[in-house]
Amino acid sequence: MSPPAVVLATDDAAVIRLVRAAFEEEGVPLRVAAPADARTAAVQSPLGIGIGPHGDGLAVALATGPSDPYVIGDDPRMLGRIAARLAARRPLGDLP
Amino acid sequence: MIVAGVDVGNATTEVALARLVPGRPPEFLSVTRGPTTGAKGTAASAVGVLDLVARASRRLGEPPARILLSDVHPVDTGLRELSADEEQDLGGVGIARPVSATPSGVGAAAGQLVDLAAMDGDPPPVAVIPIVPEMDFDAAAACLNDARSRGWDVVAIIVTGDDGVLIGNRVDRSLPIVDEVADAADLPRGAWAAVEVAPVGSTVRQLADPLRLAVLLALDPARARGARNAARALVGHRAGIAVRREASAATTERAAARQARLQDGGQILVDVDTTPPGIGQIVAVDGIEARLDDAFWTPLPAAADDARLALRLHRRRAVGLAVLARREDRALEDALAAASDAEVVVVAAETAAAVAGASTTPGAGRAPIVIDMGGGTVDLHVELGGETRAIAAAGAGLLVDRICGAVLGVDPLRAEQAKRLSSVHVETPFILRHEDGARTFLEQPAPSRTVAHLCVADRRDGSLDPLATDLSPELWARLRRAAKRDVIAANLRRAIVAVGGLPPGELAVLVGGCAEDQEVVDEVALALVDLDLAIAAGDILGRHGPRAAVAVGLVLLHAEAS
Repeated sequence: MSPPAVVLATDDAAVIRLVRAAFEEEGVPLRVAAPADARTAAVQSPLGIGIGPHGDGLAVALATGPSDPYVIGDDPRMLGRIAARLAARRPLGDLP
Repeated sequence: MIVAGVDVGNATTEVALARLVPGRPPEFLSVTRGPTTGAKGTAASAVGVLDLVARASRRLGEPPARILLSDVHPVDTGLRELSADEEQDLGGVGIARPVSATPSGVGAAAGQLVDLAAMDGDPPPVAVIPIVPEMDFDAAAACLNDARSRGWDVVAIIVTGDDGVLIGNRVDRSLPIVDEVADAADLPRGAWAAVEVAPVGSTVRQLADPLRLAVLLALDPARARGARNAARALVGHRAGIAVRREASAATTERAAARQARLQDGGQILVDVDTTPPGIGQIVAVDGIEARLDDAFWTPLPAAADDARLALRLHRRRAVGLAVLARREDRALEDALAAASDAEVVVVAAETAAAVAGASTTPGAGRAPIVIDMGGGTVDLHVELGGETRAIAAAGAGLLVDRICGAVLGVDPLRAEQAKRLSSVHVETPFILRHEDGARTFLEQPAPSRTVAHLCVADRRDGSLDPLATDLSPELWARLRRAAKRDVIAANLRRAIVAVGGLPPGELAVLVGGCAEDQEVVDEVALALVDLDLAIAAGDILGRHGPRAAVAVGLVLLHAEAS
């Protein structure tokens, strides 16, 4: 059984650093996986929340419900914070 | 012949159109309503009346030959919001309540505020609290670690962005660090300040205690007493910042009491903190330009069983004050007569019309007691044993809106929705928690801006309006009902005293916009339970609910008379 974590599906080092920072700030576990879209990442996540590339930016997706991304944006720190707060059930703060 | 019964309220204007045929009961064709234009009873309010009449008769294809009004002295109602916490004297202590969803460290410390950029020189002989601007967290941590290695005594950190934990993890996890301090740029560099972070699930203790706050800020005992408002303002917060400022000159200790003039010429001080609401017989309140028939005020509702929350709400001392002044002119009548081809007829007193209209509620027979709970006033109409009494008490739906707005921190329009509709907490994009603790599942995820917020939920279209407050739905529901009790039920009680009481066992019919709100009906029933009345919501003509009692009553009385 995998430990609870949000899954980030990318190999972009700059994105990984900023998304990791957001998760460290929120105190929420993050797992980095091979590049895939956000929905695929969400399905891999025991918490049902995934982050993946979307066009030039990033998307946060949920494992259930419509397959469209839940939030899209281009600021990795902000998208990371949104995904982490979604997992922690905290208000998401500023949105793209 | 088509006639239009018209009732102009403080918030809503209602029009009942009916066809009159001699010897037959009136045939009601439509009941419509719209917002009142201008103040009730003024020429401006005629605009809304004519608009409603025109729209209703267009559908009918025939304009009314008569416009029926009740004989009522126009009543001006007003609302004043009294003191708010921004005006309070904080005793020379500046405070900030940072958002800090995720502060770092635990504890309280005091030091001199210093810019991170100014820490490249030699350390000062005192403890410091660096202020970190929006910048990369690794770079900020490197600067702080470097300064500490050179002897700077960092006791706490204030971070502008959302980097408190990141910086704490790279510098010192035990240091209290507050983040998301949007107004960090305004903090006075060089001033002495205190920062506190409480353990998760807890709230600040040192900054919320005036003496400990004074010790942290090195205030002398005389000023320590003045710090009580600042301390109170931080109660209930997980993290806080307090800054010592130079004592301001002769600030007022509290919002000045207001002078009220009584009917007998006497004067009293209306101190909104100590004077019980509804003394009645107030004819003028200092600062309000009108001869008053009534004044009513009430503080924000509080949670009596939760001291921490009660204190937090208390810091916003906004108090709603409703006033009522009677005018002697006939402006509405004159304006309607001038602008319409219809004949304008004053049919009866408002009380007779309300009783006639409320009596059309199925099963009522005759409704001798009508309680009209509108926007501006609670009106009590009594026609018993050949005697007619009517009392208008200031303070009703609009005052409840203001109080709800002050509790939630939203404008009156959103407050009106929050007053009427129930609320939910969006726990996850798919799960809503309701006011009774029940949870429901959504098929489509809730919008991201609603997640983890208290939201006003509109069942008709499923929309969610997220509020900034951190109140739970359970608690907000209690405060909302308390506001309705404090204003409408309390005011009704006042009106009943003023008419000399009501006979037990008699029927009292509730009408007006507030009677559509089941919570108001429940609060009124509870408040009057000792009077042993049969309290029922009106259903005018058996199909219009508690609306349009006066408008329909005017048509009925006019048909009877002609």
